[in-house]
Amino acid sequence: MTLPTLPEPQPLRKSAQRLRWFVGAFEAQVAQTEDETGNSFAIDRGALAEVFASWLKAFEAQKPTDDADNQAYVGFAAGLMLRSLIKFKPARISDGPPDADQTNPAYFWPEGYLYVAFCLNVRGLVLAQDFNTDQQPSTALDEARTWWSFKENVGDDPSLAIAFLDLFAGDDPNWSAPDLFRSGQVRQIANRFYTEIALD
Amino acid sequence: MRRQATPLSFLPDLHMPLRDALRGVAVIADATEEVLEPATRLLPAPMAERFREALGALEAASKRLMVAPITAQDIQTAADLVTGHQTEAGAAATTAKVLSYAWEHIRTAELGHHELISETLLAAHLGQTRGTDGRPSENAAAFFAHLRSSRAMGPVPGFVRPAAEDDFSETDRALLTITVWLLSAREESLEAEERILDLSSALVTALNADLQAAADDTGTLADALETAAAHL
Repeated sequence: MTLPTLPEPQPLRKSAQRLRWFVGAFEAQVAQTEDETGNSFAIDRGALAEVFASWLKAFEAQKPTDDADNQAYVGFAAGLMLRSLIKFKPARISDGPPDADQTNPAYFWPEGYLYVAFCLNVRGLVLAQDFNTDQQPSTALDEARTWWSFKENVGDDPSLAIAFLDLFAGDDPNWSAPDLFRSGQVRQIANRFYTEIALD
Repeated sequence: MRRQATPLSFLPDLHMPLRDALRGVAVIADATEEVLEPATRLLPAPMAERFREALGALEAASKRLMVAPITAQDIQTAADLVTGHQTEAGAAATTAKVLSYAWEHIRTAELGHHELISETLLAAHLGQTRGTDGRPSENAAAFFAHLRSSRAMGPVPGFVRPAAEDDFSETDRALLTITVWLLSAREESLEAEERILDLSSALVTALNADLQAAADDTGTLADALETAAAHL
């Protein structure tokens, strides 16, 4: 994925907080996904701006004050982005291969696949460039059963998108309160008392 | 090379009033077509078609002539004036040209407002503005408040439109779009700048409630503008 650059050099996680970067990166993801899947998408730029504005408010609301939480917040922020994309629906599939395998996530839910690919790619790039850490996506990313559950659950509660992105990214999802960021310290304490329950 | 001042340099460029006149023709032609659309359905088809063609030709010819070409350097000059860093003679006229260009760009793009702008009045008002030592966003908020009360932009005289639901008019939204754009980071080409202007329009629409709540207080608006521009 080729990402846009900004006039002044800055960490990728800072660039990603600008609408011009976000739109450029999303359009690059659309082009890449169209190339890889044969799907075509129509993009609503007004809805993209709404996605960004909504994401920015949620991002700023829980931004950690402790620098030690910055890396964990990258994953949470990517989940917030997925939630906004699912809520405002800026992409709509306009065409696709006629005999595509509907059990493949890219054809089962083309828009959802596009959004997840974008959020995972940006998440992975920020972790790699700003924190020198590799993202290790889980096999759930290719499971039709998980995608069926993903589509149905986020239809009822878009905040579950945050937990599902953690699942796809190979992190521990917080299914009970996915829209609340837990700092590293709080997470460690919480894990002593609670056992996470995986969704069917 | 520095341009030599004309003997009557306090007067606006003589092309400016002419461009304003053409702006009036284009907007009135556009508005007339919309207002008279129901009536044209009563005319015989060939006559209605000729009426639309005549208005369209008038509008197209005016639009070609009413916007003065601008450069990336002109945009930088306008940005410097809006943020309080530019007091050079001629900056007001350049900024008025850039604002008029941006105004027409968003009028014909997604925002689709029907408001008219006077480049001549703008230049006169901008010539009176003086930057302060405050933050760029504080100067930009003062710029917005100054132009908002200037009557250099507003509804087309005589053009009937539905009553607005609130006092935050199309003029305010268009002016905020341009203010946020000029306050944000500059791009290298005019094409890229136009793209950022479009994004500014989308962002101002998305942040409409926040900006509307801040619009009447210069201090609050400065913070809101700073946030919006930083994230554009």
